[in-house]
Amino acid sequence: MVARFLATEALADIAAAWARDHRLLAPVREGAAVLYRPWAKDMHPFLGRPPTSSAKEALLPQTENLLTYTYRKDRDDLTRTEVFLAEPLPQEPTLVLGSRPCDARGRKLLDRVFLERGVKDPLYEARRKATLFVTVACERLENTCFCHWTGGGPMSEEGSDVLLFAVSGGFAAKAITEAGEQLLAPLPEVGPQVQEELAAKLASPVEPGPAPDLSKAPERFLKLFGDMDFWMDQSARCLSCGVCTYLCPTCSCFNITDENSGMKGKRLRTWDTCMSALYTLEGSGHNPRVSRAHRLRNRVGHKFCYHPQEFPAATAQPEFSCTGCGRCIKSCPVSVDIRSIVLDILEKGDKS
Amino acid sequence: MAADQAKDARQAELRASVISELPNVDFVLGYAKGFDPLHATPITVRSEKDAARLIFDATCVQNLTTGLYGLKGKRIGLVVKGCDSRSVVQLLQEKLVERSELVIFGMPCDGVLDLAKIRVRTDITQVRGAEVTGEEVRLLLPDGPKVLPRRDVLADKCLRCRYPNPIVSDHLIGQELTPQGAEDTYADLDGFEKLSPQERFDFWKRQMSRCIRCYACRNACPLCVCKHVCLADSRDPHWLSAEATLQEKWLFQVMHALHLAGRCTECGECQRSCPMGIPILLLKRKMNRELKELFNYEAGVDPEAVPPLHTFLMEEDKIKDRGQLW
Repeated sequence: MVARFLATEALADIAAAWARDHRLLAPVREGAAVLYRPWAKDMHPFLGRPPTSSAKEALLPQTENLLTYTYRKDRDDLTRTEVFLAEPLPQEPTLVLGSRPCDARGRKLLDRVFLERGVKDPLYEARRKATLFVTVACERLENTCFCHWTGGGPMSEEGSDVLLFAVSGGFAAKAITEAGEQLLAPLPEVGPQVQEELAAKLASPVEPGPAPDLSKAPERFLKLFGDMDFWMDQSARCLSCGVCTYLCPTCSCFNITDENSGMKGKRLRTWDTCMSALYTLEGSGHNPRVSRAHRLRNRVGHKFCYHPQEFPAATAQPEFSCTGCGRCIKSCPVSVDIRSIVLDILEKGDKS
Repeated sequence: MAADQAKDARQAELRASVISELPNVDFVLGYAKGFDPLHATPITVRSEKDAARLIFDATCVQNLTTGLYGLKGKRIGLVVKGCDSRSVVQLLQEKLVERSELVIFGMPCDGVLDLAKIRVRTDITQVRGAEVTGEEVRLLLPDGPKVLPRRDVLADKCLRCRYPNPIVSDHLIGQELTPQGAEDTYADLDGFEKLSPQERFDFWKRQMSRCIRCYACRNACPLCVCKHVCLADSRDPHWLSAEATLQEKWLFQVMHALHLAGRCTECGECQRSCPMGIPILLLKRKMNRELKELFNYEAGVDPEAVPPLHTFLMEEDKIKDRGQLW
């Protein structure tokens, strides 16, 4: 299939055209951050570097309304109360512009949790079916990037509907899915010069360097599970904030709360974070994950042990619930590096 | 180079000093190299091997007194810069830590880097090397070297620093420095204060719309000691809803600033930790300016002083309405 050409100056126009049929989320610069924002007139999508936040919010919003409820007292018999429930509105078709291959791969890993555990999450499923990813292939690896450790790559097509490659004057757009092809229909095909440039790019992709063999990570993690000294040292600097989990394209833990206001209210689903002291805090006051050490162990374990155990891969390389986007490293106020924790697990779990 | 030698000598002195105290403490909190040349990361030192990883340079931005309150009962060694020592003083004043439980390794410091300032000047996501001299920050980037004037990329607090030498310490490492900063006039707030209340509120609405409620600002604050009884987390009373609305985000920041009035030493960790780059230190500076004008008080400077909001006078010098009410 011939790629289509998206000129830099045509980007805002095509985005506006897509925004007519979709809730379009596009990355924009705001202060020092690059964030996905709903499309607005005069918006300038910024595709120059990976956004600060991940595209997870398109599929799993930070807060979503599961239902609204209203209580009504029976005036004749005040011991009787009726409750009326209303479901949220159906999902709008959504298009994420300017995601990165690591973001797009996050879709598959969220699917595992919300669609492939026997019970399907209807809200997630509806949103998932109605969401398209127009991804920008990466030209370079930042110091925090490690997508190639976990089965991805700077040009990985997995999870994307369209992949954009930077070429002179704009992007060569390659449709990955049928829906992606339809999105690109209004664009002209690339000329021979750009075609050549694209071919050269695909022939010599950015070389991410060697990746460590993580296939033993799950078993070595379990060997170190009870070694609290190890986890205390790994977590001593952790602030227990939510930066890593909230920016992560695959962290899927959520909380459900009722927000009452008089005789009515909403039931909300909200991102949760296993770094918080409130995570798994039980009604009795007991918390099985009582310290930062327990909680950091949970984050690392979930990604590099429990997920691969629950969803065994067909290949020798386990599937981790980490796409190696590196946001947890880059934005961590104290530079906790999940790569070095995993490498320490591989090394120390071998000895114990 | 002489500067390098001085830095190496200071690091060696720090390591030796830490090793000498290891038998007397549970562990020492210090800095080690992080994932790239511009990032240091805090470590716990329990052995001589750990101590060999200790560094001290302009990348050692974190305030290691954060979380100290939670370690009460343990004997902790702590590497502090001048500014960080003010947090220790404040914690001592509020009796949140015991002086006898701390072994402080004081580092005279001539400034740390503000990576946010470097990022607006150059792309550091692939930085390969960094060297800080008296005048310059020399970066090694994939497409060659890049030199930035050091003063342009130092943290704001360093540019006005009056306490380069730790106010409290047990081991002073290296030479004391001559303070360069003048009295803080809070002149940087003047422009903001000239805006109308509506303009100021619009500014904060724009800024706070980026907030993801990760609470890095709160958790990075050495003086946020409420832990999980924080109003932001409390369900009963239900101060904040779980919704990620502007109202919830803003209410938390206002409460944070109010709770820190007269306590905040402006270490800047709240703002530095924000993944969204929200300038929340501005709120705390505003509170501190008011405190300075009302009570002529500066937090974390004198271990014997009583913070003004921890006490009261029947007749305050600069609060006049009391007499009228009587």
